[in-house]
Amino acid sequence: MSAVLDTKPSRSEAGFDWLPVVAGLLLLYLPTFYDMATRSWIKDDHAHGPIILAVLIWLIWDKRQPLLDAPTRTAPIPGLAVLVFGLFLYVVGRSQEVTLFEVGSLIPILAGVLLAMRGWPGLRALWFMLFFIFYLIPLPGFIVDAMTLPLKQNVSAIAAQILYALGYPVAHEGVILNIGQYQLLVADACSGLNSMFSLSALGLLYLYLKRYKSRLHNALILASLLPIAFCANIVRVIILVLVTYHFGDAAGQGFVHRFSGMVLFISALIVMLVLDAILATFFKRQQMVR
Amino acid sequence: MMRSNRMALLIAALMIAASIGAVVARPVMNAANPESTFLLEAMIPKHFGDWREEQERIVHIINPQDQTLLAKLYSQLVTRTYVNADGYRIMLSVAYGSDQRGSLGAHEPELCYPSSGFILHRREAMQLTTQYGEIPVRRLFTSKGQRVEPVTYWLRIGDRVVRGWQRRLVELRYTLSGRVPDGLLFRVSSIDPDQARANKLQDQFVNQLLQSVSSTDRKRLSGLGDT
Repeated sequence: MSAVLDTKPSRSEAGFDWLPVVAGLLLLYLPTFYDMATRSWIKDDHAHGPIILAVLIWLIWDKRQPLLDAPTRTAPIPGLAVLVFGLFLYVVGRSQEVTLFEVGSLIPILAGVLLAMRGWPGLRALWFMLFFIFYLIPLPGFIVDAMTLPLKQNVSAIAAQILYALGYPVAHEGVILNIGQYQLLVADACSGLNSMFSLSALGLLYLYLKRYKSRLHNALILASLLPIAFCANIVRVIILVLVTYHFGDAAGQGFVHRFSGMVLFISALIVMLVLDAILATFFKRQQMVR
Repeated sequence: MMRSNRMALLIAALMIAASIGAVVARPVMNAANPESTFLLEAMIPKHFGDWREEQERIVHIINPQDQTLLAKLYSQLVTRTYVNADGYRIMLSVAYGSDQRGSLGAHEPELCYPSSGFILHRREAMQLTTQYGEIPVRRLFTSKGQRVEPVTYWLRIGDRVVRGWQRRLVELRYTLSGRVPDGLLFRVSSIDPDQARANKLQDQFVNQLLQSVSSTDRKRLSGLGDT
């Protein structure tokens, strides 16, 4: 009986010990997120940012119990070491406008705070949230540059080949598709990098929430995410080319262009869910055989 | 419980220190060259040496997508076609950006040309000799269908012309001293299957251009001159 009584006040007190930490985090990252909200999130290629942030906050809320519970054994030394490293990254990133460091510093800072406040169990409870922070970091320019061009070239080449096989008068030079009297530039946004990024984030979150026991099941879904996003993007480019070819330039650049991105993303998501459903029945049957 | 509270206060104190540190360590914009305001358009003469800007020039169709990207990367961009007495044409493109950090940095022509459907056949690093010193340039030999286009270009970051990894080094040096490096990409090209002739005329073009501008502007364009 006394044990039950004991836990209650200590739990609420343990919740209060987070207040200075939360205040410190807000001081560090409110300016960062304000900058991102006014600069990068309003652009198409980082529009997923606020959603990722909301998911992160939900992931913390979901695991609030181990955080509110009184600490059993903390790990202050490793915790403070990781925290100080993270703060160093933050100072460099924020002052030199290296977004990779500025936002990326959240990972060591939160990991350090968890270790120092709640020890290894606290860190373990929130490992996925820490990992998911990766998706909040805008892809650094050099990676985007290195991936966009090869992706665009592949997308153009494959789209041109498929259209040619379908009997359309099509040719491509680099990232420029010539079809009929139209010359279409496969723009950076058409590389599919963003849809790959978003779909893999959603897929990971989905797998985390599903908590499949089978490693193979998880691995198969993971491995399928990027190919699905890549194929969906090729279908999207082909559809846009065909719309332009049959209905004119205005149609291809207008409403359909914006809409196609959304439709294809949802289609890719459905393909992933269908694949998961098939795998789920397969793995369930396997378990029953055992 | 007491220990946990004390830890929380220590963490908050560290965070406040980092937050102040980030504000203090912020560099002053373009402390490198306070007289950094200049107009590229007016700086490069329309007529110098044997060369004169061609007025009725071939219309370059720039895709709107390209233009927004360019506007993002470069604060100033001059593209002109010059012609000499023999009717030889050289295309000049100078892009200036006041902030070369991270994703704002200049894109090298090795990337631009292939993405416009050009094939990059050869890439050479060499020194372009001028009377003011040598410029470490790159020469590209590109083609697109029948159009063969040798290119000579250099990239100035901060106070010097850099090639390859030197760029990161100069950027790092600027960053460590709390300054923001600016950058200028200077590119000349001609549609000419004869690479040797093209490079010779491009070198002559560069030399005559550098002779016709003031020493401040020469420094801005090529990094050459006393520091």
